[in-house]
Amino acid sequence: MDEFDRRLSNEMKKGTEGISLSEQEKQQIHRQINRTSFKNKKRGVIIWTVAAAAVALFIVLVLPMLQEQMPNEQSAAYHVEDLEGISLSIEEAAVHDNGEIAYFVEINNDTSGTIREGTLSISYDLLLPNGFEENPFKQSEMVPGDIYPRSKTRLKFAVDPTVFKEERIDLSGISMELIGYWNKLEPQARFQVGQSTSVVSSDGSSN
Amino acid sequence: MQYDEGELDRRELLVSFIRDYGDDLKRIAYLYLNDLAESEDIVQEVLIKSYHQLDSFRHESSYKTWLIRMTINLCKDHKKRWSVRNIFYKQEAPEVRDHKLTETDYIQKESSNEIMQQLARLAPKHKEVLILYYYEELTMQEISDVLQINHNTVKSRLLRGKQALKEKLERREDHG
Repeated sequence: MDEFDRRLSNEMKKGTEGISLSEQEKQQIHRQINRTSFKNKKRGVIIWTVAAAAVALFIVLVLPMLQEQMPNEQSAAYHVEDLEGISLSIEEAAVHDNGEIAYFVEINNDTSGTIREGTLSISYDLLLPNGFEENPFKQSEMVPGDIYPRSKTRLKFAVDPTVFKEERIDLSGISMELIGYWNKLEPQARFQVGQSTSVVSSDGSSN
Repeated sequence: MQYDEGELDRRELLVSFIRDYGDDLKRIAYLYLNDLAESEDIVQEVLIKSYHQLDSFRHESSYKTWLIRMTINLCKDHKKRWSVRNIFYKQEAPEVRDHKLTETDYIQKESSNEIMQQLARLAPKHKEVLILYYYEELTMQEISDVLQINHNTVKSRLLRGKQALKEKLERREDHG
């Protein structure tokens, strides 16, 4: 170190003599830290509370939607193929003097399940200029008792065609519909099977 | 107030920082800024910051090096900021009104003040090296660690800083 170096060093040390951290300053530092720690803890608690509340709200709102969207196959009581063995056919039709038509309908349950609380509906198809349309007005009868697997049942069904406007309906075009439960009396087991005697042949004419 | 174990360790460390390095850090800040009030603010900020950053301290350097580095960096940031206080209110080191001072003492004191003033006016890169070398008496390697610059850079800045300070002081002496 030369003369200037020594002078510089001495002057810096002299110039800072008496400069030190006072007790007041030390206390101030501790106070600041205590304040910040308390604030941070408080903020932490608030943040966690808000986050937990948000997650809970999310679960409450979204869970029902997720449950609705869950695939029905898991809760369905049957598959479409299970019902393929159900068929409806008109065995006989007799016209009474009063104009009523009595249909003898056979319900064939060639499935492995039991048809329970069945309701059979019959209607005449609506005539259209160039075809047919399903008639929303139907007559219904309850199927008495259950129809066991691999069995048939015969139902007499009386229809009064006069309730329909003759020019609007096709008396030969009968639509039948069976609604019931397959095996279990629960919503997932409810089914609907329909059949119509209006058959459009390959040349476009009806039978 | 209840503290967990980690917090107790940090508080103990803080107490040791204040005890072992507080005065030095304040003096370094004073030498850098030539402003007592600002140096108090700086050292407080350094110690509070160090407390909060203890968890992320990687022990790649000593605590002392880390604290001095923080002090220098905060002084640099302070200088960059446009502060009204620097223009309208500037408190210098407390004057000791000692009527027993001889003329020699008075001249010597004035000279010391002059050096401090000229030092504070140097470019930051020269000023910090001079402070760490002449006041803190760190080695070149230690200065290199604090400032995170090359050893040769420290050397060249030291030489240039010393030269610049010399010239400033000589100019002042020439102008009386």
